[in-house]
Amino acid sequence: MSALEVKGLRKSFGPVDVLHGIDIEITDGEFVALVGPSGCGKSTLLRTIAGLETVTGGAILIGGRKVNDVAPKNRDIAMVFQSYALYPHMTVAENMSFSLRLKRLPKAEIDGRLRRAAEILGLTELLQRLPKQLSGGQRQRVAMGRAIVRDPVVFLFDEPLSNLDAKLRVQMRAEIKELHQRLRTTTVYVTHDQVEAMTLADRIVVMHSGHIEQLGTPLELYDRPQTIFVAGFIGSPSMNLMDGTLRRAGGGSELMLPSGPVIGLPHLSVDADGVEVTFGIRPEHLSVSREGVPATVNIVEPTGAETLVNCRIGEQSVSVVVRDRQPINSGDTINLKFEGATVHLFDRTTGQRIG
Amino acid sequence: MTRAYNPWVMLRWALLALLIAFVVCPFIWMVSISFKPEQEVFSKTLSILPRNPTLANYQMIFDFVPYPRFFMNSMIVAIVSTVCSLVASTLAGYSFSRFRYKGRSSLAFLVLSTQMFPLVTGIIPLYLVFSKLGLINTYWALFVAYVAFTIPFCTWMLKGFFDTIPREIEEAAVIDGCSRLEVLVRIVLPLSIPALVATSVFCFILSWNEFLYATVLTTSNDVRTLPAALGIMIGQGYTQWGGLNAAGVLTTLPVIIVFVFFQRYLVDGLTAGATKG
Ligand SMILES: Nc1ncnc2c1ncn2[C@@H]1O[C@H](COP(=O)(O)OP(=O)(O)O)[C@@H](O)[C@H]1O
Ligand SMILES: [Mg+2]
Repeated sequence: MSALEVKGLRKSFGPVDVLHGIDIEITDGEFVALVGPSGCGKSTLLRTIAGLETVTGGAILIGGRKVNDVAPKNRDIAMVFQSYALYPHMTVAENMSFSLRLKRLPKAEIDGRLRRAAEILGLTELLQRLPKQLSGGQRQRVAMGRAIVRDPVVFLFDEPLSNLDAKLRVQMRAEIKELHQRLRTTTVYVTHDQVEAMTLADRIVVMHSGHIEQLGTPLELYDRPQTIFVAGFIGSPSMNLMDGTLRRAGGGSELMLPSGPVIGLPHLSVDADGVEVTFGIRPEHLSVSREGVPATVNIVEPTGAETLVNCRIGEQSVSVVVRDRQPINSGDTINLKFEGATVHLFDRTTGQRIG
Repeated sequence: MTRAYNPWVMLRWALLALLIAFVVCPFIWMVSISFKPEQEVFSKTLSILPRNPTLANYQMIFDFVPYPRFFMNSMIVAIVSTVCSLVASTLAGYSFSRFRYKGRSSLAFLVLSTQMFPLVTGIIPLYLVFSKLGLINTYWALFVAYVAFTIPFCTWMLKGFFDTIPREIEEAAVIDGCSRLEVLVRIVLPLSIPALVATSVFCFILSWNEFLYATVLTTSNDVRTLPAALGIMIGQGYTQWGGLNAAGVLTTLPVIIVFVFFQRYLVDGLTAGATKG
């Protein structure tokens, strides 16, 4: 059964169309991440699911029930906000039990649920504190606690980690993943950080200006991006994308860059000759070798385990990840090996994948 | 320290001292007179400390003037006006802050623009309306007048404070199961206590001190408030200065008490909108 289904969802603010027909089906227990650049409509989508925004067109089904006109509190969802949105005048315990008290559940039941959630999140010692007496990570946990006690059908997270510093963000990311593995509650998780989406989600929805660009598992998106946008968005460092003309050459083909250089691709056979394409190759799939396409090194960024080398082929900027420690310096000329690597071809006008 | 001799610092202190003297001297003089026997009030040599201090003036305002009645009237008028104004302003300010509807900003501006007219301009129309309604010389006349004066300021002040409360907190409460009114009562108001206190103090002091309307709209001691009653004690030919100043001291006292007691909130509340963005 699908826990959450969004069908042809449209949303406008006055004359401005923000969502143009979104279709997503999420099965029970799944963790789905919504990623996309800032302003693409992720929060709007999440807020319509929560019922904080009305729907302009289409339908939202939670647990098989159409909820377009159902009040947020009756949708069986819980939401975690970016700013935590804790009630500043209530203690941690009061914050977490607020929804249960509004529902007038018996006191014993409230206490039981509160204790369980506090244990799961390691908040037991902090129950009598006020939000202002907590650190950022603790506040984030209280916000999650407030969602957990309700035992909803769907958790909605809106960029819950973006207010934390880098180290804490990685730690909380692991905690969220662990929490999901433990509770198995269906989760929709909004983030603009593709690494967060890749590491957390069972499936990822890539959004771009109110459309879904692609929906798939993290590795599907990485291995076979369907559009130029997804190709550039998923993966870190991001994929090299270069515009050029693809021609047949012997048994394979070659890519002519506008600035002159030609990249030979003997293993890539193409049907058409002379097509304008956007050619994509990931930095980690390129390698430095004795022969290959000459490139001038621009910037060298070592990170320890690997080194990111940014260089130029003609006027085209290309990044390559080098794993072994080679003596490469800015200004050197190196040879890049394209042969045998996974490459991606996109139609330059439609942006769609062609091979 | 050379800083103490900095001429700018000295000038600042001098100006402050002057300002304080300007504000405080009349009070000191009032307190002083209230303890002086009548012949000393009119004596040619001025003295701040009474030579023969007496409580006769205080005795007088309880024996010959229904001071407790006036005090009660003032209390009733100030408290009822404050409560009514606060309830209305809270709802109006919340609506201006949070809801989107046609004419919202022009309505909000209209409310504010009423503050541009001096109080005096309202007195004759209001008198005519109240006399047609038979409300002259009733508490109702003063309630209505004071609530009408204080609502615009209070509404804007509270709107400014509500604007600083993050929307997400309210949205979290809506998802947790609150209705709009519950959000206001359980979340917004507890967070607005400093602003509510500051606004109440403003209303209370304005209603307590108001003289013009109190004088015009009341005609008997049954409803007359302290400022109006004090005004009447200044007679055509003869004025009981001692008694008048004793009454003045007793009238100022509650204001000072309220102010000192809530001072912290007052300063917080007036600046909260500006700093907690
Ligand atoms: N209440 C609103 N009124 C008008 N426009 C809005 C409103 N909320 C969001 N938008 C617009 O909708 C678009 C998507 O916003 P949002 O969903 O917040 O993006 P994201 O969360 O992906 O960064 C933005 O262009 C934003 O300006
Ligand atoms: Mg957002």
